[in-house]
Amino acid sequence: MTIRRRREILIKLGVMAVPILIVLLWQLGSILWGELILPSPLKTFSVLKAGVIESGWLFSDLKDTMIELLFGYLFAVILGLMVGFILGMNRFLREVLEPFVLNVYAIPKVTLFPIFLFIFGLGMESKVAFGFFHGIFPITILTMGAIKDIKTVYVKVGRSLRLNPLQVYKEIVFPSILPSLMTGLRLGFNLSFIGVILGEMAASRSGLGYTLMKSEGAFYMEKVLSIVVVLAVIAIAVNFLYYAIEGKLVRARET
Amino acid sequence: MNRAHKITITKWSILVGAAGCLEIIARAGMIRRSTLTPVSEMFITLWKFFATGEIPVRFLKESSIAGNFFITFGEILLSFSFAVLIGLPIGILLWKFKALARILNPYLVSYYAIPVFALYPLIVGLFGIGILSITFMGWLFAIVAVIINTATGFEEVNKRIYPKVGKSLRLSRSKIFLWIYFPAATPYIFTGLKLGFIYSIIGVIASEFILSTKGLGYLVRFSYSAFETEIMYASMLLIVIIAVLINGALMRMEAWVYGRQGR
Amino acid sequence: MAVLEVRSLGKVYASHEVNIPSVEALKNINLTVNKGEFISIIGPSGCGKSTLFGVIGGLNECTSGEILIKGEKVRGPHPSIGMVFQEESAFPWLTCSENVEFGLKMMGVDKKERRAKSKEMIELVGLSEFENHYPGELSGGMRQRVAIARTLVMDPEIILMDEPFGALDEQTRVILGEELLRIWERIRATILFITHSISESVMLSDRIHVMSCRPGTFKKTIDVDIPRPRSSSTISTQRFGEITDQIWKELKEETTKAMKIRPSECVWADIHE
Repeated sequence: MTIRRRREILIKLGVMAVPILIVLLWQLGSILWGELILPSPLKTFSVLKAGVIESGWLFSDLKDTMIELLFGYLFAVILGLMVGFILGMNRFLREVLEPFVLNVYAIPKVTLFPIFLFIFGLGMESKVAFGFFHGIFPITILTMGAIKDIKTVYVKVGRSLRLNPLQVYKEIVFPSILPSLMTGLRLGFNLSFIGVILGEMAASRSGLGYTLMKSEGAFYMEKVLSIVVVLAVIAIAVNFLYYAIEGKLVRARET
Repeated sequence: MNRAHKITITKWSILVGAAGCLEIIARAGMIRRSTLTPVSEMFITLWKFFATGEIPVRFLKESSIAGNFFITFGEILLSFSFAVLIGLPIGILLWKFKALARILNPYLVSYYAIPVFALYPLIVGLFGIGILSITFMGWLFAIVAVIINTATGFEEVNKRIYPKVGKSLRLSRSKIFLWIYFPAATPYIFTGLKLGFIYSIIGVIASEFILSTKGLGYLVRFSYSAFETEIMYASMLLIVIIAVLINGALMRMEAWVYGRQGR
Repeated sequence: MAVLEVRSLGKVYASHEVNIPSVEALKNINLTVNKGEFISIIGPSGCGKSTLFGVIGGLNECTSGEILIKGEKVRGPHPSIGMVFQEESAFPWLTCSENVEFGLKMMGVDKKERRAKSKEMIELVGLSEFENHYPGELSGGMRQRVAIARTLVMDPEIILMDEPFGALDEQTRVILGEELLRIWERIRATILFITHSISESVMLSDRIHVMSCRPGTFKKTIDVDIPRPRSSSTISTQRFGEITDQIWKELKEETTKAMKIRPSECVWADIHE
């Protein structure tokens, strides 16, 4: 086996070892600080299992959170791509609106959450809107950047080969911006996810964030940690998925 | 410079126009006073905060504006400092040991999807409710940005010719690191610091909001639950203005740092 | 009938802003290219060579004069014209053969025919081994060959080339120049070649037009009577040296003038190209 191949395998093992390491540290922590504050992994997983198999609280909360996430993210994607596209193509609009977009990015958006509650009420709609509000920024910013940076010569080639506008978009613009687009979509998902959970934690009637806060109030730490585990798994899994898709689409191209 | 003027005018028109619309909507009574305060009154209330030094809400734990300011900014500066102190060396470590970077990579990039705020019950259990917990949460939020940007920054320097110059001058490895890598990576490190600071702000204020302790974030939360809508909007306005000003200043500094190196 | 005829071509970039003057990029360009010829246009940077390239190719409009392809007036990109650009233009997201097939695919040519034609062209430019590689995996010279093959496969009546070897090193330029001659002779193409390199133009062409700096016009036309086939060894012949001197005399004056052009004018034209 070549050294390189061996190195690759070791790295893959390392990646898989990290969660195991975390669980071990977790166990250590629960010994140090007591089960009351930090329940052991075993206890947590048994509660988690119960949530899945027996009482099913996990699924009903998960369902609500996922619905909010799905809609919030979908709207963010559709609008984000559209706005990013327009701003990318139109220099004037971009120079006017870009500062707004970049500045809102830096605001602790959670403090604006009451406005969402006023407009949408305490139900799922406010979380959808909040998730949308979080996710749209990276998508817009990255799409805008990608379109702005398309190499002019590619478009010229398209024109010299007499492509109609639809073909130019489909065959030249789209493949050109794909890498940045994928990154934007991934970051958009991450932020939408956070937005939805934060919204649930702040004010909600259902969902994982809400149950998290409720369990904390009742000092039911096993449940708290189960939810954290679920959230972490979802986040990591989706990011992995994105990287895999991105790899397939983009890997061969760039130098 | 006709064009630059057009752009600035358009930007301000949008701002003023939006504020004006909100003002009209609020004053015309189309939306209840308990939901939307006229923009002008937001500013007046905010002005009163600073004029009187007090926030006129009953049962608020910390009612002086200065007190809240100090608390929030103290937390921000503390969490930022720790994020840099610990994050910078870790970033350098990840750059030096590529294998480690590749192993941690999937987790680092997913990090910002995981709501670290969800861990707050744990943190409260460890540190109790108060400044320490908030600072810790802010730190958790900021540190990964510092780490990633530092590691990427040093990697970028690697791609350029400067380290080789050092080698050709037969400098020791530590000298090359100190006198070539560090200065060359400064712009990227600055970006990491900028993001770290902004994430500290976001992390701290968001945590205050959720955790209900003291400080500007909590101010918004408390006035919301106390139905003191005017105060709530004024506080939001304050936070927005601060965030925008700081962000703008940092972006300008960043441009200057990059510009100095001719990039 | 000439393949390409340019009559009294002019191009003015009109300014719509008060304190920026209009720029006359091209003035009274007259040019005839017959079938099978290899014609070069040479001039200093900023003299309007690329503008001329864009106008003849139909990407930009001329403000006066006309362009005729086999007697037909040209308005916009014409099927009989093929263009090879200065910048690297092979699409990084397609393999070499997909790149070469691209134009045919857009025209609706069916798969089998596309594949056959592109295979032929790829072989002609010497990239058969790398058919299924991505441009990102190849060298600059190879990427330009992909761009050339993509243009050739469309079987154009005339091929316009705007400093196609500009981004490459000296040796690669000479070798690719030789290859270009080989291909040109094989398929009896008609080529209009824009360059700033004197040796390149003398080695490759039948006739050279020397351009003046802004406004660009044809200052002098020089016939290259060196017999074919030519190669890199032609460079060291006496006749080569004589013609090179002739061109350099004309060019030196223009290049010096071009160096004194105010930057604002150049930037203005660049934005509009």
